[in-house]
Amino acid sequence: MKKNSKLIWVGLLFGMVGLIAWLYQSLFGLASTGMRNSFPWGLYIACFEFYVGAAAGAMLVCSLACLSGKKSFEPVAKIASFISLACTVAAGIAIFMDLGSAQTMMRLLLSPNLGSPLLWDILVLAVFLVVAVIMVLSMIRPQREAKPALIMFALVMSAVLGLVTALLFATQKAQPLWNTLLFPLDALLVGYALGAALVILFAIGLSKKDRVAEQTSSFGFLAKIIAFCLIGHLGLTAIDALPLLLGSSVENQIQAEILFGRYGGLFVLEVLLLAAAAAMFLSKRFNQYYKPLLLSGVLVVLGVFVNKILMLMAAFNAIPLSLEVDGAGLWSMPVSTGVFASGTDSFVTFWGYLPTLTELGVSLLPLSAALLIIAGLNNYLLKKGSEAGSEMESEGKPRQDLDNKVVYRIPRLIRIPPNRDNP
Amino acid sequence: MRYGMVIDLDRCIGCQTCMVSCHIHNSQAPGVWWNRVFTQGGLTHQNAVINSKDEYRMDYLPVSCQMCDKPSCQSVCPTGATYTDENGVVLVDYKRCIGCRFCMTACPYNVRQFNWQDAKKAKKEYGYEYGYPFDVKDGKKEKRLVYTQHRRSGVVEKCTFCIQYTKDNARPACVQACTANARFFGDLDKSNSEASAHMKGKKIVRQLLADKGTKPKVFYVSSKETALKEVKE
Ligand code: SF4
Ligand code: SF4
Repeated sequence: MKKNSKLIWVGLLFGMVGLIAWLYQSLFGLASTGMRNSFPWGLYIACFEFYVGAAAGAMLVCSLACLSGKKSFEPVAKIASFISLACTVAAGIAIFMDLGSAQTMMRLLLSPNLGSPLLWDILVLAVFLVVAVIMVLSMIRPQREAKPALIMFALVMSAVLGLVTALLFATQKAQPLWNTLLFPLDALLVGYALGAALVILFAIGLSKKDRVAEQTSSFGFLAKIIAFCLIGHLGLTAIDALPLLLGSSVENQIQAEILFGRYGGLFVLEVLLLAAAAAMFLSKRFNQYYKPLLLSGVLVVLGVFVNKILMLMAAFNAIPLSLEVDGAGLWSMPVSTGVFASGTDSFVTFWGYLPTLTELGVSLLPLSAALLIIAGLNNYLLKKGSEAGSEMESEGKPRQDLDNKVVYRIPRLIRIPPNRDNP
Repeated sequence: MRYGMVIDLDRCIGCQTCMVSCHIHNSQAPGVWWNRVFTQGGLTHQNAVINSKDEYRMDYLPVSCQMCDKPSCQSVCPTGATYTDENGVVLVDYKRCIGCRFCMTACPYNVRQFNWQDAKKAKKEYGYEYGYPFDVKDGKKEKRLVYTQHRRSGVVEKCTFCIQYTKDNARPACVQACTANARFFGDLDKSNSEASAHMKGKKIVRQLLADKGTKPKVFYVSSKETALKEVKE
């Protein structure tokens, strides 16, 4: 079976499971998830952030590849535009799945609160979706190439989307772990690394093995972006961790206990995964070959996912209303869970959140949408026999329109490392 | 008018009567608590703490919505479901709430409660049938649903200062029920209201998490340092 059709089948299967799980959730309410009052955002919001980061990162890659004016970057630009659109749609679905009363969603239009960062984020996501659609159209229809102004706008929007989404979290005084100056920058870097890693993964995954070598010049460039972003993220993590380790305020102590104590294992896992990926993307021994590139990309995806879920786990379990009680040490005001379950306490100071099967099932829905969009667009190119499709999974058709295509020669932002053959 | 509440920690005996009366009068589903009272530092409630001077100590902390003058829950709410009425009471319009739970992450006091399940069904399951039975609507142009006996699944709720009673100038259920007369309610703009009057002459008057900038309208008072020792000024 062709790789592309496999992806479509997987997407359809995920979509069916996701739909059933979502119907179940709609019937029984969000009590069927692992979230509770003290832990109001879980897997869906982690997915939302994940997809937003990926969409922004893929758009960065797409616009930089277009701006480079290099023909060898075209396949990567195409797949990046597909990923960006797919992840934007997935992010929208993820946030919709999370709403308790989706039936009242029209309220966002009827009585919007312009001061809410969530409203701003939804608006930015909507604009970004339009840009992503236009970019995809310009990629799949050679006669309708994106204008340089649009490419620049897409580049700017990739940063705006990442930053505005990060502000949802960073503006919350109740959550000191997010409420830092560096948080938005950090989230942006993580998203960029993720988007670029996904581009590599899909570009390799959808290509024929013998075609991968043709793309190594663009992969070398992507590897640099990823390594740079990951090193930046690890540096910012260290800077943010310092006050927690050294600070003596109750707030700092509680956060340190949760982040490095209760969730120390996850924290170390995230750092290890992303540090290993950064090192591999930097190393010439790894960053130009098929399998090491795939492995490094997977490490980024896993590391970023741990980052997103840990960010919620550590923040919500550090209860802001905590006191250092003389004789008793750190004490947090118990919070009611919101759901009565006999034999368990209705008040907790720690909620060991784990997504339920329903939640895992529902989260397949945005994933399925993303896979189907990427595979569908790639399929369209294959059918048309245009160059990106043939790059991705060609049947040896001539790529006649590649050479006489008008490509942009605006600033040459990208230096291409020499091509290497596949080992 | 700015409704507020004063809680006298010298008087509070931690009996949790306010908690239960709030739960019943406001028809909260099992597991949902708008008001909580716990022992500061206690492993469990009513568990004494031995302080650094080897003395036993049992101080309580009752916490419900602080009715902030700068409510972080309200500024983040994307639909304006959370709003402040003309009496300074922060309310939720159950018809507007989309259940995004942004307000829950933004409130530093963890007082907001989500309906994770259908409240009516959950109450029925445990054989509960309680609470003020009529809807309360607020607003002149658009009627906002600020109280209904059974909130639907997927909306956020919290203390309303018992809007169903205060609209008729009665006091909130917790104030009426408090066995030790530790709660005082009234207009903070009037110096002779019950709440303002009780703050006068108190050695210690504090708000919870004052550093978060939420400007709560619930004040905790005490004449001795111990009860509010660890609460930052
Ligand atoms: S205590 Fe929380 S829910 Fe109540 S007004 Fe303040 S921020 Fe809003
Ligand atoms: S859950 Fe409801 S009240 Fe809270 S922010 Fe969302 S729409 Fe507003």
